[in-house]
Parts: sequence; C-alpha cells; structure tokens
Amino acid sequence: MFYFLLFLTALIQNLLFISTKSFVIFSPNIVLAFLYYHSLKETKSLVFKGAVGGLFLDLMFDTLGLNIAIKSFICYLIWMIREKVVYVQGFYSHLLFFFILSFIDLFLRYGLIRLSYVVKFDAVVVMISLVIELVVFSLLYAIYKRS
Amino acid sequence: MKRRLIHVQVVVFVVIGLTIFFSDVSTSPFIEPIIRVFNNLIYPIMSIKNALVQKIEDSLDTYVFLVNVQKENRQLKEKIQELYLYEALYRECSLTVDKLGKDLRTDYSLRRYKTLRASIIGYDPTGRDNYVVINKGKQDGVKEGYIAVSGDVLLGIVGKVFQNTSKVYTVFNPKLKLSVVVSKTGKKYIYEGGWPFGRLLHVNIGDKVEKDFEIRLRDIKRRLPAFKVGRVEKVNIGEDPFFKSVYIKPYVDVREIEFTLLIKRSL
Repeated sequence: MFYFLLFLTALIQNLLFISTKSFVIFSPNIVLAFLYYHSLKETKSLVFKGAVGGLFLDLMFDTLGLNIAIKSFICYLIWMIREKVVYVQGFYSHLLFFFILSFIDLFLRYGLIRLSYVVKFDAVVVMISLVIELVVFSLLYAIYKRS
Repeated sequence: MKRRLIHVQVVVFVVIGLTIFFSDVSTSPFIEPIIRVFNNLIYPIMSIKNALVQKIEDSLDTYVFLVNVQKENRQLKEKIQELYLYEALYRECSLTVDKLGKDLRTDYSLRRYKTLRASIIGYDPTGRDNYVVINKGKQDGVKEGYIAVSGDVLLGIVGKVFQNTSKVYTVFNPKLKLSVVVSKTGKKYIYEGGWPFGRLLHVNIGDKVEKDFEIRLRDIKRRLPAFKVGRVEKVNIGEDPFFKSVYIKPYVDVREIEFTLLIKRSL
C-alpha cells in the first residue's frame, strides 16, 4: 500500500509540474513531503523507501539514478538527525526541518544536473514549487496529527 | 548492526544512483524497454496532463494577447482623442483662412478648383522641352489656358487641345509669358520661357533681383496659389542700359515627371 501511495505521490508531483519552459528538477517535491510524513509515523530508516520513491520519479522524469541517490541520502539524513542529534517536535520545527531538507534536495538535484547539462536556475518556479511543497507538507502534518 | 546496515544501504543507493545517472544507463538497450513499459503505463495520464497544460498555455497566451490588445486599444483611443483636437484646430485654421481670404478678396481654397490628373505621353523632339503631350483632351473637358502643375511647381499652360490629347507649353517655351512675382521683394514682372533659362522682362536696373531669388506665379485675380516657377540663375546688364537681363532656371524637370495636375482655370 505504501509503495502504491508513493507511486501516486510521484505521479502527482509529475502532474503538478506544468511549466514547459523550465526543467523537471524544479518540480514541487511532493515525494519528499510524503516520505517525511511517513517518517513521522515510523521510526525505522526510510532509505530503501526513499530510493524506491526516487526510482519512480526518475522513471517519470527520465533522470534515472539522480533521484534514487538523492532521496535515499535525504531519508538517511532524516533518520540520522532524528536518531543521533535531536528529535524534532512541533509543527514549526518540522516545517523548518522539512524546508531545510527540501533545499538540500533541490541544490543536490540542481548541482548534479549541472555537472551534465547546462540548466538555467529558474528562481520563480523554484519559489512556487517550495510554496506548494510546504502547503502539501502542512496538509500531511495535519493528517498525521488527526490520526 | 542494524545501523551499520543503514549506513551501507545509503552508500550503496547513492553510489548506484549516481553511477546510473552519470553513465546514462537509461539509454542502454537493456534498460530502455523497461522505462518504455513504465511510460506506457502512465501514458494516458500524461497525455491528459499534456493536453491540459497545452490548453492552459494557450489560454494564458490568449489572455496576454488580449491584455496587449486592450492596452493598444486604449492608446489608440487616446490618440484618436488627440486627433479630434487637431481636427478641431485644423477646422479653426481653415475657417480663419477662409475669412482672411474673404477680407482680402482672395480665394485660396483649393477645394474650389476642379482638377484633372493627366499622364505625360509625349515630349518635344527638339530636346528643348518646349512642350509635353498629355493624355487628356477635348473629350475630357480640357481647354486652352488651363494650368499644369507638378506638386507645387508650375509645369506650364495648356496650349493646344486635341480630341484625346493636349499640348502643354512648358516654362521652357519662348511662347509662354506669365505674370510672376519675386518672392523676396514682392515685385511683379513678366516671365518669358526659354531653354535652358527663362527670362524676366523689363527688370529695372535699380530693382533688387539677385541670384537664387525665387520666382512664383502671380494670378492677377488672386485666385490661384503662387506656384513656384524657378530661381534666378544669373543677372547681367542688358543690351538696353535701363534694364537688367535676369535669367531664370525653372524648377520643373520635364523629363522626370510622369503625371501632371491640370487646374481647370485659366490665368
């Protein structure tokens, strides 16, 4: 069930990206929001699940390998920070933490893509994507709190 | 042990992911069919999405276009308002000119002239440009004495009228004699055509007529505009010691013009 939802999330992320003039790496990171939401419920490591989510994204965006590496790394970061540094509590702390992770994810994607291609950094699309991400994350957090 | 596994797991995924990405495995013949199958699975949704995106983009483009059209429309409306003002000013000027014309017993309204456009179909074979032949004649209502102009320059006077054609005596024709005025001084003289220079007759020795002075047509009844005739080319002491010989270079270039406007009015 989780993997089906993950697939749906990746599909939604793909569907939400409607800009034809910008590159797919600037799409709103809904998969990360979903993985983070899932990490709230489970204390186990999400590295494998993150890799699968990344695989779905890669298959859809035709960037095979990129999201597998980044999503597994971000999931590892979530796990590591939770486990070893501090346990994040409260909505705003989660929001901030997610925001930082999302930024790391974005710049890793952009940086790695830039090693192979020349891609213009589309700040407007990035800002819109970040806002969408945060809204989706807030909704998922609300669902998590209710459940 | 479990933690170590997670560390290993992440390293493996990152290394594999980056290797796949940078080695461009997705284009290999083994992986490509798998990706194609996956893409086929989500193709219906993607095609709907693309159609939707296209529609949204088209709508946005239309919206932007309409906004631009609206802006342009507004600017044009403003321009039209401005032109209305100019039109009113023009009407005011026109009325003032008409009033002035009445007060001075002159009539400068070109609208009152009946005109006729004619093509030049023949030239003087002597090469002295004494006349040109135009394609309008008696059946078009042309009469002898009508004035032929080109722009604001006098071409000549209709000399002979045939059924379908007419002969216009140009300002180079020695038979042509006109009343003219020197623009700078306002003095009136008689112009006699000639090639290559026309002449001003009976210019007193004391009259101020110098080189490059402009000569204009003078209608005794003051009903015609002062068309340009030519400019003073040279001034000599004449054979008669009381008069100057003033040579005029006509402005009109007979061989350049193709059409002429006949003003249906005699001098």
